[in-house]
Amino acid sequence: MLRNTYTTDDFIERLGLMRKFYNKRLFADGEDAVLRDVLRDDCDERTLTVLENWLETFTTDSIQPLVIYEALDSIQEDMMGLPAVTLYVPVRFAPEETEKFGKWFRENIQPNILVSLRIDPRATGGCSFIWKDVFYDFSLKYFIDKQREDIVASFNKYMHAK
Amino acid sequence: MNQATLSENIMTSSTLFQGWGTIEILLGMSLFICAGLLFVLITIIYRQRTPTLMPEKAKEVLINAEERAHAIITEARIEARNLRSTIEKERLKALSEDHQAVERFLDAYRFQLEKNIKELSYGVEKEHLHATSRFVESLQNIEGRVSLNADEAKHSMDSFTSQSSTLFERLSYEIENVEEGIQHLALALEEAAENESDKNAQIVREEMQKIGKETARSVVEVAKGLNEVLKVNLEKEFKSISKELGQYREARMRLINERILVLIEETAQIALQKKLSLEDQAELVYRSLEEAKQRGVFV
Repeated sequence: MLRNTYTTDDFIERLGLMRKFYNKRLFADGEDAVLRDVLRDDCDERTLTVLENWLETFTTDSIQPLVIYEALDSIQEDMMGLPAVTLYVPVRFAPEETEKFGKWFRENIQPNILVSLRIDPRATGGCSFIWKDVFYDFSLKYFIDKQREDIVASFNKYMHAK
Repeated sequence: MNQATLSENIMTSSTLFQGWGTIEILLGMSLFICAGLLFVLITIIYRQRTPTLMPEKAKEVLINAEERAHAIITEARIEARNLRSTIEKERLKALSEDHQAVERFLDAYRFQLEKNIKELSYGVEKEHLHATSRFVESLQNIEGRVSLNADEAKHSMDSFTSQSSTLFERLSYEIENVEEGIQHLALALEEAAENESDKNAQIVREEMQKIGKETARSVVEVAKGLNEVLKVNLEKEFKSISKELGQYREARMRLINERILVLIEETAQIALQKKLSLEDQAELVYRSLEEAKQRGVFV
């Protein structure tokens, strides 16, 4: 389930959608319930595709719907135990870009990490993040501090030239 | 005792069969016994005629029993399923109500949160503008003061240099005057001496010339010494003032540089937020993450 889900928000949202679908399937429409029809109004095409893949995997593994339905809560609890990073970015990115951030963390940091994405305009010029309860600022402020000597020198040069 | 009982029984029988003779009684009893034997005989015959349970019959009975058992189990299953469905419906209804209550709470919470954020953002923006304008104002004041102090220092140095030059000129002029006066004095003495006897005049003239030259030399030496002292003191004073001015300027520049960095950061933040495309923003995020990785933050 983690394979195509990179952020905690997406994971929780998708678990909620699955819960809704199985409610419909188990207690209302029965086997006639089609995931796409049930959830069409609740999410975008990308999420629908991911959920259909999940469903296909469950069917292939012959896991009974009731078992999945009852396991959803414990899956969400287990998710809290996964390694996570809170990433602050300056603007709201498209879901595709958000997934790329998640992939970067999976490829470079840990293969089962989840990203909690937050928007903070102070992170302009880069980003900041919380990793293992420590806040790291790699925004514009960091890069200005790093280049402070050059910047001041350029500024002074400009001022004197003026 | 037994006899008494027997006689009582006979009497009772006599009472019952009053009017019957002994033969009738015996016949009646024989009839009763025959009826009993007939009953026993019929029972034995009936028992012998009851058919035994054949294997086919037993199988049929078993099949019937199984069918009935299946029917009962199926019925029980249906009942159980109906019961479970009812329970699940109740549970879902309760869950749905909970969900709705949570949604309502979340909506109210989000509304309040957004309101707070808006108020906070407005306050922060206002405070930021206020702080920036105050900062710019104070920066201008600092620059003004630095400029004024530099002008004042320059003016003081110019004035000091000018006064020193005047003093030197006056001193040179005085020295020249003294030299000239001594020469005049020597000439006057020489003229006075010419009026004396030749011998004395010669001696006096020589002495006067000697005194005149020595006086002139000593005055020149004193003037030169004074000049040297003044020069040294002036240079020392100038160096001290220059050093203080340099320190002052350095401190002010450091302060201004810090402010410049903050100003650049704030300006760049505003500019980057408005001008950078999403692709550029994403690129900067990756660059920051790579930088963090290279610095060994993710361990």
